[in-house]
Amino acid sequence: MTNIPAAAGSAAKLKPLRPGMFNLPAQADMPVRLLGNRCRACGEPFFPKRHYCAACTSGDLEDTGFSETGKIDTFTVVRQQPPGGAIAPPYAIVRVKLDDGPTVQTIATNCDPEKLKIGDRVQLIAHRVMDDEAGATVVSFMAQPVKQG
Amino acid sequence: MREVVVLGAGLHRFGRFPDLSLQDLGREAIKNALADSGVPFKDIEVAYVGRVLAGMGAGLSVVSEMGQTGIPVINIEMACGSSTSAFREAYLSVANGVYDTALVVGFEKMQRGMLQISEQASYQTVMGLAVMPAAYALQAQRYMADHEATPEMFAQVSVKSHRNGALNPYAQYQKEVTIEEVLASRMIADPITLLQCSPTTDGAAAVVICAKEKAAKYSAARSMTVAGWATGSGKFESHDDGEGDAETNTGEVTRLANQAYARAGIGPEDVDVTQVHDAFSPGEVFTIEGLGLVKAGAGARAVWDGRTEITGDIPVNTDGGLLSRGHPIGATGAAMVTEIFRQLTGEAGPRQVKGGDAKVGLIHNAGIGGVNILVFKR
Ligand SMILES: [Zn+2]
Repeated sequence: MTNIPAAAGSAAKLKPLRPGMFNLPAQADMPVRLLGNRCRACGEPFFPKRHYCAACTSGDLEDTGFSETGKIDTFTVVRQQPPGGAIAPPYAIVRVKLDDGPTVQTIATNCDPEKLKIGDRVQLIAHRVMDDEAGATVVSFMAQPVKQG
Repeated sequence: MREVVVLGAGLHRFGRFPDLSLQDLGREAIKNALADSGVPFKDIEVAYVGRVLAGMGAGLSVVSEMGQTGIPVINIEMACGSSTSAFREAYLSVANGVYDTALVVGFEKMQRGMLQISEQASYQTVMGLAVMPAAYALQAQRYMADHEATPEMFAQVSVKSHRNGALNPYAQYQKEVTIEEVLASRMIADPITLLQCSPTTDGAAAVVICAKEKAAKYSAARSMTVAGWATGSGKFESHDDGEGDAETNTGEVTRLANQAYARAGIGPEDVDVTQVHDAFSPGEVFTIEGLGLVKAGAGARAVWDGRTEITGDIPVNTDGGLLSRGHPIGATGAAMVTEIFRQLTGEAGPRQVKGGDAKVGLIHNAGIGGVNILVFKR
């Protein structure tokens, strides 16, 4: 667990939604690198990590971090809350082609989902999903448009 | 392998039937299929059952309603593709001479609301990423950026399906809708509105198959031949990003369709009538491209131009499809076989394509992670 420096009146602890998926920054809304792995035999990148390569079946994969930035390959705005979802609609699901790494799906955040466009550049950040029972802020990786206007 | 024919098929009407049990639904479908085929239940040597949400042993509890003849009852699950999987396994057992006569059954009773596609509390579920229509919506948005397609073209799939459903007494929805109504219905995941989502449905479907060399003794004067099949579980493609993709990935559909065409000795140009897995309206557009019925990028335009209507040159989902006939997930595949049987035997009534002269029927039925293709000839 990383403690946020006591600043800006917020002392809530940050907790990753799942351990080991990204490097936990000191504060919410800071950039994150996704932690995945890459097949040593064929070079295919995976996020989340796999034990065996989906492309060539090799079990020889090395852990790696992927780039924090990428661009939107496609997106949709979800307007009905799915079962078990912690995020209130409307929100955008984006498929992001990382500059160095695989294509990943996540939520767009800190933006107007109605103004997203295919091809927009995004930065991956750690953003709040919910609070847990102990009062910690549970964060996951989300995509923040680099600029939106 | 031996030639195998479909001798009969039948449904319990699709809809919402809170007062009926799985046994009630399944018994009606089996009774109708047996009557249609002329095969008495005591001659059925094996039953393959597609079902998803029902508990342990559900297949046996439904099939034994018809009599406890001691036959093997084999439960099969591949999500929304379960009963085409059951059909294929039944076909292979008869084709290989293990049995002469087999029953295929699919049934389901469903809860209202969105299907959940990930296991409880996966990170995708918590983050709201495990949204079934979103898989189709993401692909549809990309499709619109890459091709000259509009939300209206996807909405037209639903207009067409409901028009066909209105002609099908077994459909869940037997009412036409206008394109304005489709577009004005609640937005679920852009560009997919509520009327472009398949409903949750209760229903059952059954099919009787037989080795052709043993079929003459039954009263059914008509049949269709199982001509080709293919199945697969979603081959990895670079930069694939997981959930839902096997259903919306036209490359995967093409890979399997080509296997099925090769087995049947035909090409897509020979197909007269098709059933595709339109769980959401873009599914029809992507799938007719994947099947090679139209060129890549031409699917939305083909729908818009009416080519997939009953009166069109590539009629698709003549019974209303998942969108209007309904989608009781375990029963959907067997219902697709039922409609192709009606079409190829010239018994589809007001839904009949090609003046009753349809010779080749094609089925695409997808389940999470997998796709089944079936080809039939009159
Ligand atoms: Zn590999």
